Amino acid sequence: MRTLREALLPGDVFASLWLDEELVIAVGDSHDVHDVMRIEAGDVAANAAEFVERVGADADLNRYVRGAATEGAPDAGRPLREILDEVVAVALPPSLLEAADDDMYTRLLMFPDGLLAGVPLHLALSERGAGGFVEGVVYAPSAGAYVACARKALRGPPEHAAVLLGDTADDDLAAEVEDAVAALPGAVWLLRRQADLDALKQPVDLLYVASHGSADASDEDDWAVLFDGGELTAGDVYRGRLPIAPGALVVLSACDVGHVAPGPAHELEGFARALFYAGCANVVAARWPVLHEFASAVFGATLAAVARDGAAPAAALQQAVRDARADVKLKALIAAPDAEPFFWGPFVVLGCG
Amino acid sequence: VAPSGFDNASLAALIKRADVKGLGSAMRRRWSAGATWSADDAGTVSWFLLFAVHAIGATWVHPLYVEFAPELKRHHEQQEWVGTMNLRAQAVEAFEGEEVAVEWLQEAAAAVPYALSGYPMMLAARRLLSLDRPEGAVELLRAAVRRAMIGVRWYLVETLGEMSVCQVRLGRVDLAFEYSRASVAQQYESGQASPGELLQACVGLAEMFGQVDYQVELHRNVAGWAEQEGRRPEAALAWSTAAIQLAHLGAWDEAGELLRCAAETADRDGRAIDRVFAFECRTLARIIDPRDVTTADLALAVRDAEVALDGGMRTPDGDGIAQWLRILHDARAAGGDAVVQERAIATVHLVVLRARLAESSGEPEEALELYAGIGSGREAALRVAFEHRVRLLLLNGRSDEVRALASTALSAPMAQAERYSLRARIAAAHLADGDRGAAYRWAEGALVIWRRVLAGLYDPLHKGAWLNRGAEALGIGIRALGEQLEEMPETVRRHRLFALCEESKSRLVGDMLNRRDYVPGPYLLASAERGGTTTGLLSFVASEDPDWSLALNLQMPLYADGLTNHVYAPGSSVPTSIEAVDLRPLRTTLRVSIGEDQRLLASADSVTYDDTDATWDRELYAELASAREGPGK
Repeated sequence: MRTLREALLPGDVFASLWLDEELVIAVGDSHDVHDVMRIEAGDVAANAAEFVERVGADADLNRYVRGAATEGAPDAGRPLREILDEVVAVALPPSLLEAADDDMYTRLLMFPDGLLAGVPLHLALSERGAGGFVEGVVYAPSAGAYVACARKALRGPPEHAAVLLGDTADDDLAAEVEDAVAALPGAVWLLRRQADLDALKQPVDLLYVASHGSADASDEDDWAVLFDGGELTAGDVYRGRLPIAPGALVVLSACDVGHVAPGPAHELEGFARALFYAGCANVVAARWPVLHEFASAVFGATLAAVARDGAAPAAALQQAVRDARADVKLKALIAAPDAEPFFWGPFVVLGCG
Repeated sequence: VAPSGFDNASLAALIKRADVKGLGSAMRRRWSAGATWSADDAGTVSWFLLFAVHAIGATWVHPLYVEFAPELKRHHEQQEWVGTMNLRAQAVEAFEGEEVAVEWLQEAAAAVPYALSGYPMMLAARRLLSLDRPEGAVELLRAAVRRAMIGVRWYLVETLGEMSVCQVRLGRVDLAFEYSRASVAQQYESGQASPGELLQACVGLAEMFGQVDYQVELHRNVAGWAEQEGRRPEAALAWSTAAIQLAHLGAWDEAGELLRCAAETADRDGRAIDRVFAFECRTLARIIDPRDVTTADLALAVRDAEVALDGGMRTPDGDGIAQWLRILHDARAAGGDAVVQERAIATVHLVVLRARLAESSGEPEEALELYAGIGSGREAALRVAFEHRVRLLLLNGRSDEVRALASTALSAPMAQAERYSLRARIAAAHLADGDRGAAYRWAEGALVIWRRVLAGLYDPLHKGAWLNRGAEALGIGIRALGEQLEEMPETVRRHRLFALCEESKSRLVGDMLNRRDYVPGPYLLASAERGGTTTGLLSFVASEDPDWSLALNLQMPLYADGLTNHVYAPGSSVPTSIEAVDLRPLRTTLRVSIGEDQRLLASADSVTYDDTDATWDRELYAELASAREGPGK
């Protein structure tokens, strides 16, 4: 498998974006690259930056949650949906919108660039009311990254699964971990302390992390999830302290650590990058802060569908988000319709799906 | 040259006269039916037939070939017969085509002893490459290299060279470099190259393959080694050479540091010429970086330079500059006094500083005038001045001049990274003029070099710098293909545009994804921290990628302790002298790519949409193929 075409499934449609002074978008499938567009980037980068900044701000989290102390506080700027719509209007070409309505396409592969990598572009498609993509949406930093992941992804039930509890004093996390363990077939390593991690006999092919995450440090190496009274950082992952089998799936049920930030020369940085380095083929995570209720519902259901039913991560996540959107308890937590992108946009599959 | 031991002149005369009948009679007399042929006979007949084909034409000579073919194509087990296979294969190919020649060579490989069978395999692989079947060729070459390593290794160097060509065709320039280096190591081990030649060959190969990190490390190593032994001028020169390489990559901060280090080293001896060299290094550190510098900094640098120059030579103000430039020109032309040359070059540094100051002060025309006065040449300062000049011309919309200057300069030898830069500038000039077709072609030409250099980089910082530099050509290529091109089918344009967009992004992430699968990178062995080469690592490489393993194993002579160089007189089996050889400077060249803090040592290629879009380094392929050993192909 050396080319994108070889790694595409019959129902796949892909969009490769390149953002500079201009935005270039190539759309294709397993038959051909059907469409290339070059358009003036205009405000798309600025809008994407505004979106990323807004969803990453704690103030917004509290404003959007019904019952939170600052619920309904004056918005810092334009509504999130408006910003997202402006990005999408430029970044999603008509051919992709048509593909979303075409039954022959079941999965969307997005290879975004720069700031666009931080924006849930697919959200507009899934909200169009059309068929969308029944097998879900996959984000990869580049087509090369997608092919590399597809080449090594492990399929089938996990043989060496582990669940990491980030904070033993957090009852919500503990309950989530209990559910995760129950969802996994066979023996599961439970990682509550550093010693448990050190005692891992072999690399895990599926890891579920229930913790609190943060991605606000300036150095990507310091992006981290809480663990054993301290942090498990991207730097730790780079240094091999999280033994992960090549082709593994990691589900990060934590705030922020699915965020991907643009680096120099069209590079993308983030905690996920460290996980890819450690061997992952798929990372399911949240791009920005999420409420525990949403995280446990979406990530828990995703895990169950993958581990128990053998679903592909992208399809599993998409279904989990759909189910969560229909959950009245969760809906009740959303303060206003305009805030919906904030609640349903952060969930992402990075890798090959 | 015709084979000896025969009346060559009369046969040659017949061929020249196109007397096929006479030639046939003469050859039949010499090689009568039923006579027992020696290997020399087979070689000689092949040679004459090939000569006749070239002089007369295959159609006319074909009946003669048919007559002799059974003997020519007969397989013999002796080495001298196998040694004539290249000529015989050429004859078979000339009359029956490449496919038949490949078939015959493969039959031969099965018929001759194992240790010799690699030779016909290598010759068959060469033809498969010519038929553009590299996958088949590499299979044969893998086997051929192993067989060539047995016994006296008489065809090993040639086989390694062929493998290098083949790896370039397969798009693995980094591995091709390893095979070329293995070939050099083998030449050294077999006494065909002296230690000095070995070092030169390694540097030359690194240059050809664009292996900048390797070159930098090599020069750093030489510098450290020389400094340890008190040879400071040599050390300073090596530091500065490494710095220039880094500057080409765009790693200007590190280049500046190394230049200052070179200056300090040179200053310590206190000789006049070394002081001038130190001055040059210091000013070079300031002028080498094309990024914006403040006017105040530049003014300070100009003042420093003037003071420094004033201390050791005349202040090059006004006429002084022109005078020193004349001296430089004359001294270079005459190969004259080194100190004078050094001082003249030092003046160039000052002029470049002044030009930068003019540029920074919003006086581009004055800056361009100063650059134009300097001219061009191989010295670092002149090359830097030239790069600044071309950049400034482009910024000021003088694209005609950019094209003219850069095109002329490209005909001279230069570092691959410099070549990339000039090609990219020409592409930018064409794009500025609205000629998108030419812009795309030049951008692709630049990217060929860019990819070659990228493939050899293993230091993450250097890689980052080079990725930044590549953005220029990638961006031009993408913009040039942004709309339909008359000369390019639309499908091709879409595929190429997709490939360029993908190539320009997330390369380091791609590395990450691939690295943990332990795809062996360019440098897998012998880091100092790991205590040198280990059997375990070699076994690891062997299991992961046998092609890498072979190339690395063959370089092991460079890592042996207590190497000696045995010098033999012609015909003597006893060495006339035995010299201890210190190959420490070469030992930095193999690296561990899996260290936890060495994240990005391997290069993950971006992908194309499908196989038809794949590009490979045709320039390097042609260069290597033309340098093949032996006659013909």
